[in-house]
Amino acid sequence: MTIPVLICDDSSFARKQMTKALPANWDISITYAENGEQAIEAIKAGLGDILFLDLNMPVLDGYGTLEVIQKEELPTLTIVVSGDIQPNAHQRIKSFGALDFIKKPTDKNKVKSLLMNYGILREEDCLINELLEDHKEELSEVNAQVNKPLTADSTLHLDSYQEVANVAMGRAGDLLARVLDVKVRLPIPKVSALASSELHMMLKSTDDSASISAVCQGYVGSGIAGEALILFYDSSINSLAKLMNHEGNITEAIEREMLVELSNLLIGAFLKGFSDQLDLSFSQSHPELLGLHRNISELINSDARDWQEIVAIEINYFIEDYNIECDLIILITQDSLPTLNNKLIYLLDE
Amino acid sequence: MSTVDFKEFHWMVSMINSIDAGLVVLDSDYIVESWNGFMFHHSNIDACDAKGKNIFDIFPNLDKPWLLRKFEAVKTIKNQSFITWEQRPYIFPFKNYRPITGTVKHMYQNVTILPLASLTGSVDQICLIVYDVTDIATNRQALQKANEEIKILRKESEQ
Repeated sequence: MTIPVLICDDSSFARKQMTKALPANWDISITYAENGEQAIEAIKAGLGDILFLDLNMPVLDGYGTLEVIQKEELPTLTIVVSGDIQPNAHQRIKSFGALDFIKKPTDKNKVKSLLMNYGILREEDCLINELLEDHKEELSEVNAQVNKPLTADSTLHLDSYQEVANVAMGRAGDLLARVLDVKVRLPIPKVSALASSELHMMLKSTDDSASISAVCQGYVGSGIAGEALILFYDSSINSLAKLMNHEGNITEAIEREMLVELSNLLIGAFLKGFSDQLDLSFSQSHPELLGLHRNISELINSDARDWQEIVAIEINYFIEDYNIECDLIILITQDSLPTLNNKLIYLLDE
Repeated sequence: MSTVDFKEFHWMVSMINSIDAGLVVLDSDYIVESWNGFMFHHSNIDACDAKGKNIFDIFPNLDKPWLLRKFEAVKTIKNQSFITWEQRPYIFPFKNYRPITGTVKHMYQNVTILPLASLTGSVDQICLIVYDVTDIATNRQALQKANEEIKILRKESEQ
């Protein structure tokens, strides 16, 4: 019997990656959804006996989807697939009714053993020869569908940047949550292509009036170079000090200490997560404190002397309960894009 | 090599490889014998490709006669020698570590040339250590510029 499988993820890169991670020759029909709402509809239409669900999505996120499934008692077995690997996320999703959790990037063998463990996949399912041909056609159809938008234009690349960024962001969030022992709310990373002269405008739109402190760190390796910026909102300094166990008066030295520590953590974890997925390594410069308590125009040089098209990945980390907010912005130079695009295509076609 | 030796070798190599300064060992013919991660990351030429090649072939725009004079002097006097960014902004054509918000395009460098004595005491190899001093250089230049401006302002106010 053909099992209806539903893959729900806002990124087509991730949907494709998940499809590739499913056991070969498994008798299934695959449906795709881009957000929780579409997923619910598909389950109601009987297209999702098994659901692979991402957590970070627009419209209706993974937690919300699980809630609806539980409340309406929808007939589906949910396996959460996410880059969000914070220690308590695992438990939280189980309490929301998910069967289990798979970490992104998805590993074919882990998916298989997990499906076997729950009896969803039996050894004989993979061996039915007569279905093999049939299934191959189906898969190639699916692949053709998934491939179509991917080969089209440069939006492909932004989409795969998004997915790689998602995984890296999850790792950085996980570290932050562990070190500070808090729950960190993970946003959807915003990936955009812009001219370097527009950088200022982009940063300004993050916040134009607030007083912030910023740290910048360069990275370079394997033909890819750029900068990582941490923008920390000054309104959060007292809460951060409390979290990091700095007692008494918050001197400027303590602020510097906290900022550099925070940037080591976030930038380091993000770049490691990013480079691990693409199988490359980076050298990192020393972090440079661009300034304390300024507004953004004073911190970043808006020198338009060297125009280039860059890619920016913006991630807004928010620590619940403490009202701490900081932005991690990863900038990638124009020179790096051809190399990076090649790597991403390779990752896609693996 | 025993396991212990190998372990020590392993961490030694990872240390040399990840230090944030360029390390290059050249033999008597200026063929690259060692090339660390800093050199790889900033030049995008990995150690396998660099090893066995002449340094002047890898970077054809190096000022060969000038550098040869420095290298030979180090071997002769068996003493280290320094090249600072104030002499030449850079030796190797690397980009600024901060390629987007940085105020200059290239990486300012200080380079140390070390003689490496063999067990018999003769110097056959030299080692280059490349330091990124872009921050120091740009800050110094900004300071000088600011001082010039103050001078002009002072003159104007005196008149």
